[in-house]
Amino acid sequence: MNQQHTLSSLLRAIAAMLLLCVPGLAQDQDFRSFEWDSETIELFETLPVQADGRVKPMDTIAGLNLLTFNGKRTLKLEDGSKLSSSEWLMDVVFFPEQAKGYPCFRIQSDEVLTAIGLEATGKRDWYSYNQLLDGLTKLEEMGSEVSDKEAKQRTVVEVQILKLARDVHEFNDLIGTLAIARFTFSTDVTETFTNLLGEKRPGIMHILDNAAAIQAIVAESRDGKNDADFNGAQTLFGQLDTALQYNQHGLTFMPPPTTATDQETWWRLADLIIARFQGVPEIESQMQMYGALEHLQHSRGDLATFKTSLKDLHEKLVAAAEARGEYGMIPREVSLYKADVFYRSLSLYALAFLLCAITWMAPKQRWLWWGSWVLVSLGFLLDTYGITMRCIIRSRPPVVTLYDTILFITASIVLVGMIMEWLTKQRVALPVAAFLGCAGMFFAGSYELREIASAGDTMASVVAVLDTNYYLAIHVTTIALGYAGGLLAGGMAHVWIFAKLFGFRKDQPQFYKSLTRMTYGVVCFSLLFAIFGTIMGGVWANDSWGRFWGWDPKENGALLICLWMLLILHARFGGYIREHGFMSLCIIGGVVVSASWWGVNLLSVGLHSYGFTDGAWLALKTFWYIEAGVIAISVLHRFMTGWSGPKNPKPPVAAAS
Amino acid sequence: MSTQSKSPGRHVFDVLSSFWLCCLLLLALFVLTIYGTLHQVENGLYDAKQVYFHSWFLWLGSVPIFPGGLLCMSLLSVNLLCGGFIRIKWHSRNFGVLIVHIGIVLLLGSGLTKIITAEEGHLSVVEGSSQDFFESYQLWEVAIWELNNRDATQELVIENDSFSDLDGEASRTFTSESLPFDLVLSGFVPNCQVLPVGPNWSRTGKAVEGYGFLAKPKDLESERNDAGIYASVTADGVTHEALLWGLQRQPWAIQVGDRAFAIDMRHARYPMPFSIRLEDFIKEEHPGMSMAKSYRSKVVQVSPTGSERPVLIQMNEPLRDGGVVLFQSSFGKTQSNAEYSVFSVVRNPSDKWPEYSMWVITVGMVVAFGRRLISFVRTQSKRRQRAAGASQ
Repeated sequence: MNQQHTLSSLLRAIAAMLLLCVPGLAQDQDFRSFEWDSETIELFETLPVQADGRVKPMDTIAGLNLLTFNGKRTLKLEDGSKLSSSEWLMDVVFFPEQAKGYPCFRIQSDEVLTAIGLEATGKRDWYSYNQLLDGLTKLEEMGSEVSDKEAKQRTVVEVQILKLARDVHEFNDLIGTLAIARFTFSTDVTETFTNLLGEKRPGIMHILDNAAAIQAIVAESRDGKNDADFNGAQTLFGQLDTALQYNQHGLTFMPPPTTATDQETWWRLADLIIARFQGVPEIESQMQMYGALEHLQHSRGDLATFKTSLKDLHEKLVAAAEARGEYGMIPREVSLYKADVFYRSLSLYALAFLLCAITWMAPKQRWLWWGSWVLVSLGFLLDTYGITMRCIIRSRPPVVTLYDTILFITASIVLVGMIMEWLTKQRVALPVAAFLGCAGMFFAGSYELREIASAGDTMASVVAVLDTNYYLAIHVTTIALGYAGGLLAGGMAHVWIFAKLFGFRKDQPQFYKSLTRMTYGVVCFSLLFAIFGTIMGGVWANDSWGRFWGWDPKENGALLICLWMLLILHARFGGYIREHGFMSLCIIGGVVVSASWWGVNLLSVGLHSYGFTDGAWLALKTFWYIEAGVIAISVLHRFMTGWSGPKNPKPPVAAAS
Repeated sequence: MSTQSKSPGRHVFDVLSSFWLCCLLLLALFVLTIYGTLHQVENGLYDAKQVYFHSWFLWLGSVPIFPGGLLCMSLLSVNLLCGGFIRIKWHSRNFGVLIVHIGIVLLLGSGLTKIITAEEGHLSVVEGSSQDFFESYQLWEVAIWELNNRDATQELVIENDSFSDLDGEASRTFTSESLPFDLVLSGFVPNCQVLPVGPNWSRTGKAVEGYGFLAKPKDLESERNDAGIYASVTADGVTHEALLWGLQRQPWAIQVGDRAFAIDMRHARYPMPFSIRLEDFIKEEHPGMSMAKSYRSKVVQVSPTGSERPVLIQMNEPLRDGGVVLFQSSFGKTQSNAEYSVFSVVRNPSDKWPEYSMWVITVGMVVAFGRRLISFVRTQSKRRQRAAGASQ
């Protein structure tokens, strides 16, 4: 869903949909009488579509839209059955009347429904388009009002009203995708046109086939030569205009002619109609695509015929996209979403952490420990596979958007944790990696919806300044590694503090020393990448904006991490902090990373203000409060057990050792 | 060694080279960075820089309450030199740390060099036209030239620092042998509007011919401020006076004897060692979207000798030559629908130093931390071997 859609067009879209009831549109076969089969679904979901600046599969369009409306990629119907996102979109496009009855709009608060004059069925529930129909006019009015307000001034309910208004707008666009193909023309405007086009109400394809003849009639009748035919032509064009209204914002799935090599933007059906009447040459293949589409629409009542028509359309669209070199990534993207790697990765990390926890109670069961290793490794491989596929699909380095940062940082934490475990074999780093991996993937899943709401996609196009793979690959990934190190060090510090608190292995001082050494190593790792990434960011800024350092909030956030990590290391070198202080500062380090990663974006100032962070403030504050609580407990515990400082305190030394 | 045997100089050196000073300064910088960042939300970036990062102290009224960014960074540099180079043990195990410190000194040096010497501004050029100077975003100047003899070399320029402190009644007189008059400037207003004097608003400073300055709060984006100043000239026993304003379209013209002069307040201008002619500006959008995919300018760089060189300036690929760097910054269309391109221009001798420092610091950290990692792995390995031996 793209925010560029203005709410002013919502009214137009709703009006267009009301026109679905006008005589020009066929009303037969409005409800599906069969189940979609797997072959049909596969053909549909691998159709190429251009949206948000790139060519992507229909499957992605379906998934992103349903996730936005419904909060999930599948739709549960009232009878308990489930539809996949592609099945849902097929119904939306080919059986809109049926899709209007699906409860696909998740409404978080009953206050939203009350505000638009409807009765809520529950505090939080799912509603269909038909159920919302009576409140749409009010929704449009309120959405428009909220849209005019500054984001900071909007209440929670207003934000939800705006979201629902945009969702309904998007839904209207989707159900209008093939409305143009359902349109039929009245040809009895004059005898000349009836003779040319026939008495039966034809579809647009028939009109387009006769476009040259219609224009010839217009040319022959203008300037008062034949007012009846001229006015008849105007009536016909009026119907054409009405038809074009349906396709102003629908899906864009027609590659332009191969002769238009400089034309990157794909065509909507409306573009074809305009091109045909303007006499644009060499659009025969586009005409055939449209013919196949119209045939597909008319064959929707019978699955076998529908499938044959879909195969024909699929063949034509794929060939056209391949000729432009724009189809290669479609099957990959479909398989990436089908594999659902990030959710599976989350499950594996969660299971691994559970096994790790069991091994603490049954340390002699080695198979449990090795099982944890296998699960964490598999989770990491799936996460990495997903990240790699996203790189290949976009031809971009791994980290471009905020959503990417979560995936990449999670994978980095898990990898570093595994390495630490392999080096130390203390059975600490692996559980921490599994826990943080699980938390990271859960966070990614929660944030995905917000990124889609903000950019329309999690693999969205980037602004001009980011159009450089060199800096994206080096600066962004290294700074993300710095974040990963800071968070992992914070995680390890939690283990140390809670282990001390609960007296875990209290007779094994070596365990605590080893943990401190590990955490120290992770802090060094974090500092190395944070400093390199931060300065590299300055070098990029110097090449883009002409200044190395501008004290921009995001730059300052990166600087804060560097300063804090340097402070930790120097305080330790100087002997001002020992293990307890070191671990407490590492926890604060995690807080600093969270502030740099998300907090500065919430300030909404500066050149790096990007990403959709509404709602992040509460989560961030909660995290900070929890961490403040952990430090308070740690200090209290330290106070109660006595400040048993070193008998021979290490004097501050000037020389860095 | 007892403290009593230390000389005062040694005491100072010990303090300046100490770890505790380093930690204190890092903490102070950390705090400054947090407050400086939050300050931007309400007061803008320029103000935050002036108050927190480019200052020696933070002031509460006339009382310094906290060290400013300049003081912290200067002391940190001294601490680094004393502790990180002189006092540190010059041993192979500290080799990496020494390299890191060299890199940091280079980085801080580049920042200092930029603050002292750099000139920053922008250059707007319409397709088909050329320009050989750039203008500051924030700084102003008052320029004086003789009409009918407009030669840039004959312009007299009063720089920003010479009048920006003249608020209220304070005034300053500027003289030149080449001018048949003295110019008196007073009542500088950093952001203002010129309006006819009336009962509904209070002017700041003097009124001239029924007009006065309406002072406005400084804009969060400092380049949006339009400064104004009161100017007077006494020649041949006659006093001429005017309000000079940054947004004024025409300069103030005065007649002194048989000579005519123009006086103008404008953004400070800096000459470039070459001129730039814009041939074509190209903007590409992502397909089906209004989001810019790229924008670039085809320009011709013309040297003082007249030789021409075609150059493409685009995002992330600036033009570097003759000590100045031109970056693709913005674009637009004039009222006559002609496209123009805006370049950020910087003259900074330390332009590439941060990049060099980055590599130096990275190498140093890899050496220092790599050495520790190897040591850690060896220790772990030995410990495991001992544990295995003990269990046997």
